[in-house]
Amino acid sequence: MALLAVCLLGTVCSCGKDWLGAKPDKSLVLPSTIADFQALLDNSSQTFNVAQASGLGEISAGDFYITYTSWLSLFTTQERSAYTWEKTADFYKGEKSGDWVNGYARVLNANVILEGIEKIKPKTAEEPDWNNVKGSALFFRAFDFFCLSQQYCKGYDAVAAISEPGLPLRLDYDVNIALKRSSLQQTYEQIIQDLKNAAAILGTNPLHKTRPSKQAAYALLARTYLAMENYDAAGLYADSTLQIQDQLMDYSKLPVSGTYLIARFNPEVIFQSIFSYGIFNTNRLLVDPLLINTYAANDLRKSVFFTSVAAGMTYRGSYNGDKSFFGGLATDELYLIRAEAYARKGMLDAALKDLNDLLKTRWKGNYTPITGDDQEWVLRQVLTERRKELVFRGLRWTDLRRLNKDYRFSVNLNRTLNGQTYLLMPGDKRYVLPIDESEIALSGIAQNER
Amino acid sequence: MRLINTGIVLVLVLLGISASAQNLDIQTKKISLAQFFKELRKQTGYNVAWNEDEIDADQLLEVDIRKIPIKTALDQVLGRLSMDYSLNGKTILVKTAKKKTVVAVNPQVEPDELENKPIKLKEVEIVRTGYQEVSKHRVTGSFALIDTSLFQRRVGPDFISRLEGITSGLLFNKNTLSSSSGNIDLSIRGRSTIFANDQPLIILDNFPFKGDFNALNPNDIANITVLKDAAAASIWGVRAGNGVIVITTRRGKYQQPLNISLSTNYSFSERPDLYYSPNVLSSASYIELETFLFENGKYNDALADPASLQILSPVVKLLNSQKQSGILIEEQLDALRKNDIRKEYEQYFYRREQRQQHALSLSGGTDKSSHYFSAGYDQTWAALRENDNSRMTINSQHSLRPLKSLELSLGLNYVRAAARVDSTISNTYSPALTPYYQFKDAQGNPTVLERSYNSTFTEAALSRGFLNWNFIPLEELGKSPSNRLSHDLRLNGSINYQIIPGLSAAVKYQYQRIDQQSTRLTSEESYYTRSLINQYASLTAGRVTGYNVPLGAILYRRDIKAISTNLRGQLNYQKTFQDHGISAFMGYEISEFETSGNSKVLYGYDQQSGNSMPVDTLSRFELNPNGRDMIRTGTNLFGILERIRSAYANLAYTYQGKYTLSGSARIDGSNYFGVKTRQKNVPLWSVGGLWNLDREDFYLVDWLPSLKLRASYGFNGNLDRSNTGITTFKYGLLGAPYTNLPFAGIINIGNPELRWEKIGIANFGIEFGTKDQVLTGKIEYYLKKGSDILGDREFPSNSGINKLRGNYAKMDGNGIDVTLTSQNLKGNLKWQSNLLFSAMKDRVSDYGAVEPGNMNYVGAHSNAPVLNKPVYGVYSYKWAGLEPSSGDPIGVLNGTISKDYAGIVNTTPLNDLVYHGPARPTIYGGLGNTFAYRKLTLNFNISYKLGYHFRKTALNYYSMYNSATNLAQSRDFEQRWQKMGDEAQTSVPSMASYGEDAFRDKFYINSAATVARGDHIRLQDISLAFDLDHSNWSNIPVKNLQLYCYANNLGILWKANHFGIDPDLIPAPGDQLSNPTPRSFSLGLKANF
Repeated sequence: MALLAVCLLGTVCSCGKDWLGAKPDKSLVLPSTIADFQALLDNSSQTFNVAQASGLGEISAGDFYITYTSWLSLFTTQERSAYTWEKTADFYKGEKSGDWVNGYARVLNANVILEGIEKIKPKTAEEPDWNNVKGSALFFRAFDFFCLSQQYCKGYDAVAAISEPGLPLRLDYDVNIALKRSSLQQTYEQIIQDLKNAAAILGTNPLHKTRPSKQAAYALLARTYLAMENYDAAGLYADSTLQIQDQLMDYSKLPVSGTYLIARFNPEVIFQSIFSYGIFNTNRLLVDPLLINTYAANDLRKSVFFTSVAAGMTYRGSYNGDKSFFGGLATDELYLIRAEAYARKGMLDAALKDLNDLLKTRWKGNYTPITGDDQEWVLRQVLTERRKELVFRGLRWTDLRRLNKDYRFSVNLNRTLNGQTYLLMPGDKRYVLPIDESEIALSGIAQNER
Repeated sequence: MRLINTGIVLVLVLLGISASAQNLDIQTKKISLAQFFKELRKQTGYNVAWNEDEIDADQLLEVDIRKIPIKTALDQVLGRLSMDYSLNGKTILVKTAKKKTVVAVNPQVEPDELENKPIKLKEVEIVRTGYQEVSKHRVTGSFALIDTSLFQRRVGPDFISRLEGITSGLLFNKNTLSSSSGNIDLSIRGRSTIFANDQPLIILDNFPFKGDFNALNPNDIANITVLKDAAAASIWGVRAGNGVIVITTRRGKYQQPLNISLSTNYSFSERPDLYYSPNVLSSASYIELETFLFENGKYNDALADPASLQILSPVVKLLNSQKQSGILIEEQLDALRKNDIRKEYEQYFYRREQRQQHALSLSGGTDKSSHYFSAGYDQTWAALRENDNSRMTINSQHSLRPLKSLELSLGLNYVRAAARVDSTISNTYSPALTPYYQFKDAQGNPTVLERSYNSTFTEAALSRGFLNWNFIPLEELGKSPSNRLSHDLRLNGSINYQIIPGLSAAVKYQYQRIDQQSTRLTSEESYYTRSLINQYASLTAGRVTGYNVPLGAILYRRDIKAISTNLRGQLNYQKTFQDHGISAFMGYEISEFETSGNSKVLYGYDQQSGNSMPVDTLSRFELNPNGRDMIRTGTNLFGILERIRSAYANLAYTYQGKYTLSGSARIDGSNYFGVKTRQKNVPLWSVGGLWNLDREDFYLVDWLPSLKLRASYGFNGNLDRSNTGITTFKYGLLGAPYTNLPFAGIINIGNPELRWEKIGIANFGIEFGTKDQVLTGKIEYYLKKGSDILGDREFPSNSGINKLRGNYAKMDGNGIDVTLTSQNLKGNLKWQSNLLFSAMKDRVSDYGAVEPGNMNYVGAHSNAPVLNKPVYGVYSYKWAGLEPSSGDPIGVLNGTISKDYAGIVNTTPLNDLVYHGPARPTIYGGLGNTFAYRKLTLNFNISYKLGYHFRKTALNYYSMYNSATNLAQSRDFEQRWQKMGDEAQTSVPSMASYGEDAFRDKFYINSAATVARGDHIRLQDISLAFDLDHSNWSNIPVKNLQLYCYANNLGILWKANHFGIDPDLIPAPGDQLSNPTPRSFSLGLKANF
C-alpha cells in the first residue's frame, strides 16, 4: 500500500503544476501589480486615513468636558475610563483597545504592501508609481507607530529611551510571528528611518491629500522630533515642509454660515487623516470654558472652531469638513513647530514672524503683530497659540507629556464628574495608556501599569 | 491453479467431473446457498468456490436431499438455480450457466412459491461506489442500499427528498440557513466540519453531480447507494468528508427484448395553512396595540409633520381624527376588527398545489448492443398563484459490443426546466399592511396600498408630472413575474476493453453544460418601473421635465453558465482463484468545473424589437424624493473555477469467501487557492476487513444462520474554498469616497499553513439474519475524529488581526446506525417492517477562540463553536419565571435572581448560560410497514427526529414599539401576562412600558423560556398499489399494470413542544407566510408493454 501511495504521489505531482495554479474565484485579486497595491493604499474610508490611534489621548487631554448623563451614555468602557484617567485594571473591562487594534491592522496592510511591492521589478516608466507605493506604505507604518507610541509608550527621554518599553515593532506581514515590545529608542528610530526612506522616494504632488507625499513625510518627521524634544531637527523638517507647501487659509474669507465652515482637503491640509469616538459628538462634547476664554474677541478661530449649544460651547467641525476629528498634517502645525524651534533657539524675530504670519490669517479686521524680546515670553506665546490653533487635532496629549517636564509650562489636569473630582498631575504614570487585557494575554507583552 | 471466469469456463467443463460416490443428506425448509455449500463440505469434504460478484450465496432455497450421490444432488439443486459447476480435485467450482438468460427477479416472489419451477437466480446485490460495482458480500465498508421499490413508490418531483426516512444515517436538516433559503440540507452521520462544506458528495453515473437536484427525472434512477465510512467513501478523497451518495441511472441490457414502460400520475395538495405562522396577530389585538402606541405618542412626529413621507395605518389615522375632532370611531374600528388578512391571502394569492408527471421509457438489447431511451414531462402549479414550473427530460443511453472484449457506451441527457415566480406577496410589506388590510374595497375594486410613500405624497407627485406612483397589490399580481429557464445537457462516453481475462481498461468521459437564464420584464405599467422612472426623473422648479431612466419597460436578466468536464482512466483487475479472490483497480482522473454569472438591466426595453435605450451609468443622480444613486446596468456576479486531479487505487482480497481485506488510497490535488504544492496534494487512505462468520465450519448457531462482521478505518477529506493560503484583495465596486479612486481591501490574510481537513472514521458493523430470514439487520458503530478542522484562532492584535481561520480545531463524534427488517406475516397476507435508527453525537474537542459577550451563543442556535459541545447547540439565559406582581421576566445574574436585563445580556459569561442540548437531531430514523395481500400492497412510513432543542420566535415588545410594528407581530401577545396569577399559565411577559429599552426583550427572547425539545414523530406517507397482470386479468393488453394512490406529508403524530410549532418549520422573526408543506394526494399508473 505504501509503495502504491508513493507511485500515486509521483503521478499526481509530476505533471501540470500550472493547471492547479489557476485562480478559483474571479472576484478575488491576487495582488500582483503596482496598481493593485496602490488601490489598497487608496482605501481611504476603511483602512487608511481613518480611525488613527489618537482618540484615547484626546479624551484624556482635558480640553473638553461632558456631563455625567453623557458620560453614562457612552458606548464603550474605554471612553469612560480615558475620561476619568482610570487605572489599568479597570480601564477596558474586557474590551479591546480600538486604537491599538486599528493601528496595527493598518501596520499589517502596510507590511503586506511593502512585502508585495518588493517582488515587482518596475520598468523605468513605472518607477514613480512603484516609489509612491513603497514610500506611502512606509509613511503609513510610521504614522501609526508614531500615534501608537504617543498613547501606549512613555514620553521620549533620550537617556531612558534605551531601557523603556516601546511598541512591538511589526515589520513583517506574517501574523504567526510573535513579538515582544521593543525599546522606546528602537521605536523612534524605526519611525524616523521609515519616514526618511519614504521622504526620499515620495513626490511633492500627491494626486489626493489622502495620499502621503514628500512634504507629509517631512511634516511627520518634524512632529516626531518635536515629541522627542529635538527642536533643531523639528525646526529643520518643518522648514523643509513649508518650502514645499506653505499656504494658509484666510479665515476671514471662510463662509460665515453653514454646519461646517472649513472644507475637506483645504489648502492647509498636507495629509488627511481622521479619528472619532462617540464622546466627541457635538451633543456631548463641551469645550473647556477656560480654553474658550483664551481666544481674543477678534480671533476668528473662536467662531470657526466652536459653536454654542444649550450647555455651553461645543466643537463645530474640523479640517476634515465634518465632525470627525482631523489628526492629519496641515501647514498651520508646521508654522508653529518652526516658530517653537526658533524661539527655543533664541531666534525670536523668526519665531514671531512665523507666529504673526499664521495669526494674521485668523484675524477679523486689522491684525496687530505680536512683538517681544523675552525668550520665555515668546516661547509661551508660541505654545499658547499652538494649543489654540491645534485644538482637537490629536496633538494636545503629546504636548502635555512633553511640556509637563518643564515646570514653566506644566499643567495639572482636573475634572469633576458626578460630584467626584479627578486629578492628573505632571509625570503621573497615567500619562501612558494601558494595553487591553486580551492583547496582554495572547501576546505576553509587558503591560503599562498605572 | 484453475480459474473460474468467463473465458475459461469451457476448459473447466471439459475437465469433466469425477463424481464422488459419497452421499449427501440435507433436508431443510430454508437454507442459504452458502449454508448448503458448508453442509456439503461437512458431509463430503468437498470445498466449494464461487464468484461473489455473480452468485448471491445468501439466497434462500429449499433442499430436500435424502442420501443421494453428490453429483445428483448438485444437478438437482444448482440446475434449478441455472448454475453450472465443475470439479477440480476436492474443489467444486460453481458459476452461472452462460447459455441461459438470467431473468430479472421479481423481489416480491418468494422462492417457496416456485416449488417445482426452476428457481430464478437472484441477482447479487451490488454496491456502487462510482468507481466500481462490487458484490455486497465483499464490501468491508459501511453503505446503505436504498430500497428501490420503496423509492419508486414515492411520488415527488425530485429524487433527493424521496430518500427521507428510508435511508439509514441520512438526515434532512431543517431550519438551517441553507434549508430556509430553499436548498436541501443533508448530513450523513452527523456533522464532520465546523465551517467547511457540510454537504455530502453526490455522484451521478460515475461523476460528481453538478446542478440542480430537480434536474433529474426520478424515473430514470436505477439505484442509489450511500457510502458512510472511510472504507466506502475515501475513494472519493477530499470530497468525501461528508459522505457520498452514489446514483446510477437506468441502462438497457444486452439480450433483452424491447420493454416499454409508461408512468403517469397526478397530485394535488390541500390548501396551505396560512394560520400556522405565529408572527401574525388578530386584527383586534393589533388595533389594541396600535391604540396603545398612539396614546404613547409614537405617531406624534409623523402626524405633526404631514409633509413627511411617513405612512400611517388607517387605525392611526382614525385615532388621530378622533383626537383632533372628537369623531366617534368605535364602529369603524369594530368593522376593521372583523378583517383578517390571512383570509385575503388565501382568497387572492393561494390555491391548491397541483402537479402532473409523465414518463415513458424504452429499453432493450441484442447480443451486441443495448439501448435505453426515456422522456419525461412534469408540470407543477404551485400553491402561490402565478407560480408554476415545468420540466422536460430526455435520456438516451447506448452500449455497443463490437468485439467480445470491447464495449463502447454513449449517452445523452437533456433537461429543460422552466419556472415562473411571482413575488408580489412578499414585495407587499409596508407599515400599512396590517392584519386588517383588505386587497379589495367594498365595491370589489382592488385597493391601493401605501407601500413606500403615503397617499398625500403620491397625489402631489401626480400633479407635479410624475407617473402614477400608486401601488395596487392585486393589479401587480402576475404582471411581472421572474422567469427562469435552464438547459442542462450531459454527454458521456466510455470505452471498456478487456486486455486479458480479468484485466480490463476503461476510459470514461463526461461533459456537462448548464445554462440558466433568469429574466424579469417589468412593463411601464408595473409599479416597479413607474417608481424607478419617478425616482430618477429630473425636475425643474419642482416639476418633472425629463427622465434619466427612460419611459418604457425594464428588462432584468441574469445568466449563469456552468461547464463541468471529467475524464477518468482506470485499470480493473478481478479474478477468483480457487480459494482466493482479488478485485483491484487503479486510476487517474481530472475534473474541472467552471461557472460564471452576470446580470444586466435594459431600460426602455421594447419586447418586439429587443431594442433598449441607453442610460447615463456614470453620474450620480439626485433621487426623488430623496437620496443619490447611479443607474445600475448590471454586474458580473461571480466566476468560479474548480480543478481537481486525483490518482487512486483500491485492492480487495477474499479468502475462501470467508475473509475479505480491502485497502484504498487516493491523492488529490486541487487549485485550492494558494496552498503550497506540497499541501495541494493530500493522501487519504483506508483499510477494512470482512469476516463471514457464518461460513466457518465451527459456526453452528441454528437460530442465527447468517452473521457477518466488518471493521474499517481510514480518512476522508474536506475543504473550504473561501479560505486561501495567500493574501487576496477584493476591489470596491465604486470609487473611494471623496477621491473616487479605485480601491481595494484585504479579504483574506494568507495563511501559508492552510491544509485539508481530515476526518478519520473507524467503523464496526455486524450483519445478521435469523432462521428463515424472519429478522435481518445491520448494526453499525462508528467513531469519527476530525483533525485539522477549520476553526478560528485568536491572535494578538499587534499581528494586525484578531482572528484567523485555519486548521486550528478538532472534532470528534460517534454514533450507531441500525437497520432491521422483519417478516411479520407470511402467506396470503404478508407484512414486512423496516426500522431505521440512527443516533450520533458530535463534539468540538479543540477550539481556540471565544467570542466576546454572549450574543453569538444565545440566538436560534449558537453561531460560534463551544469547546466540548456540538457545533450547533442551543444556549439561553437562565429563566426564573414571571414576577407575580408585574409580569416582568426574571433572570439570574451572578447567581442571584435579577431584573437587571442589561446586566444579564451584557455580562453573563458563557459558563453561566443554560446549555439545553444540540440544535440538530441526534436520534432519527423511520419505520416502514408493507402489507401485501395478493396483488394489493399497502405501505406507510413513519419518521422520527429526537434528541434536540429549538428556540421559537418570541414576542419582542421593543421591536413592536420602535420598529415596524407589523413586522414584529407575535400571537404570543394574546398569551401575555395581564394580571396576577397569569404567571402560572404563561411565560410571556407583560406589556413593556413604552419607553422600555431593548434589554428586557433581548433577555426574554433568548431565555430558557423560549426553548423547547424538538422531538417529534411524523407520519410521512401512505401508498396503496394494485398490480394487474396475466394472473388476475388474462386479456390484459399490456405486460403488467400498476394502479396506485399515494398520500404524502400526512402530519405530525407526536411532538414534544407545546408552542404549536412544527420543529421542522420554525418561522424566523417577521416571517408571516411560511406554512408547513400541506398534505398531498396522488393517483397514478405504471405500465409495461
